Amino acid sequence: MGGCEGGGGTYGFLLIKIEGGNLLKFTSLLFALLFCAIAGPAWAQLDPWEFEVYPVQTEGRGMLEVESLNSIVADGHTEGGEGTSAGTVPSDGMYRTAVELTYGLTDKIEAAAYLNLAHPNAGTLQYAGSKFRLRGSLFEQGELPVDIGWYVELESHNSPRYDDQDLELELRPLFQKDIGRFSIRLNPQFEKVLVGPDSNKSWEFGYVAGFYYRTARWLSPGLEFYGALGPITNIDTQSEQQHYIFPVLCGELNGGIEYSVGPGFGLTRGSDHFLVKFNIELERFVGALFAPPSPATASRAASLRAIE
Amino acid sequence: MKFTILSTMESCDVAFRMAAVALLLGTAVALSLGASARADEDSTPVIRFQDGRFDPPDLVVKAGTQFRLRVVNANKDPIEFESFELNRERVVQPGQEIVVYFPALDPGTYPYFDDFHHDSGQGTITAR
Repeated sequence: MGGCEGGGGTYGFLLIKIEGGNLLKFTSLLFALLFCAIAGPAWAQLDPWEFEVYPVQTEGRGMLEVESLNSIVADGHTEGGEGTSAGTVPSDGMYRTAVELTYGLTDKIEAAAYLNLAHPNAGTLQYAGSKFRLRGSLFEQGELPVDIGWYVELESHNSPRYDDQDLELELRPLFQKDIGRFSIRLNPQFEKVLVGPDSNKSWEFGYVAGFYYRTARWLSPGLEFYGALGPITNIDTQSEQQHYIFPVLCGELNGGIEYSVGPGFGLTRGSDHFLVKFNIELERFVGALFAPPSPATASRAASLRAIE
Repeated sequence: MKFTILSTMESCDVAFRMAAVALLLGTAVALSLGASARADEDSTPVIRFQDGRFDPPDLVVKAGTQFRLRVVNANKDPIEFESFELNRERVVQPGQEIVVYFPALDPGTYPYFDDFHHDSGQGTITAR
């Protein structure tokens, strides 16, 4: 899912009957709740280990994806805590790499674990943190005018070298719209420090967004945007905010290898000035841990629906 | 005393927000686990994958009209119904079926294939 292809995931048999109209109301309620939940007294730190825009579709049930996420800050800040650095190690010359394992739990939910490693300028490869996340899609792709999904992540850090916060929670609603060969993805980010010096601060807001034009399966251009605005209750000044734009090339090569590569340009003083990202992933079907309903069960469910 | 009341209020506020987040996530997971409307399935065109090939190999649909498609995997192995042109990629478990939603298509022929068995499973959807 790190490439620019929007597919993935499977469809399961209907176990809960919710009519389309009610589902819409339910979703509205869901997002109303989200904003109630986040509107409390936190600052959006960009996740420099993962320059990736998520589609709404998840890995299919039983699919395993191994992904290597990489970025190099070619022109960054020389002081810790500035630019993409959230710890004492400065961002300039930093090579970050993360190994991500993603598994399709069900037709519409996937789980992932990350190992974040850092290679400071002329230094050795060091452990920087770990992440665990769940991601889901709420509808079939194309079922609604805009595809909707969700994302929840727990992130722990090797404090204080790479992030002075110990544990963070991140929530994202996921949106996607396909128009012909164009694909638009939007991932607003809401992050809260659970354990660490900023645990008493409000939620932070950031964003991840991407626009792609699908020219060929093996090569498509796109533009990605990443940003961190700061605490919701006290947005940072424009110069303190981080905003990046990445022109990218992405696609799927033979053997199921997907890639996404491109240079990133910082747009504010608070951003690193120039960095490069390159992500590569491989996915394989390894078998479903949780089997879908057997045809007999599905047939029974269909009969029950018909009776209703 | 004032500090205690404020602390209690803050604790309630945090508890409320945590409960809201939990409710939100629980609802999202529940929706992801089961929800999708599947009315009028009988009128939905079907593509069946069996013995390493899709049947019918060329499905004709009406151009300019949104449509749904049922993909049935009658094989003993999983397949991945994929089309770059149609921007769809869905795994179908053995003995299971999926419903795929498509936007209104311009007239033309759109190839699809089974990404797990490139050498055998291929087909087209033609919009007229």
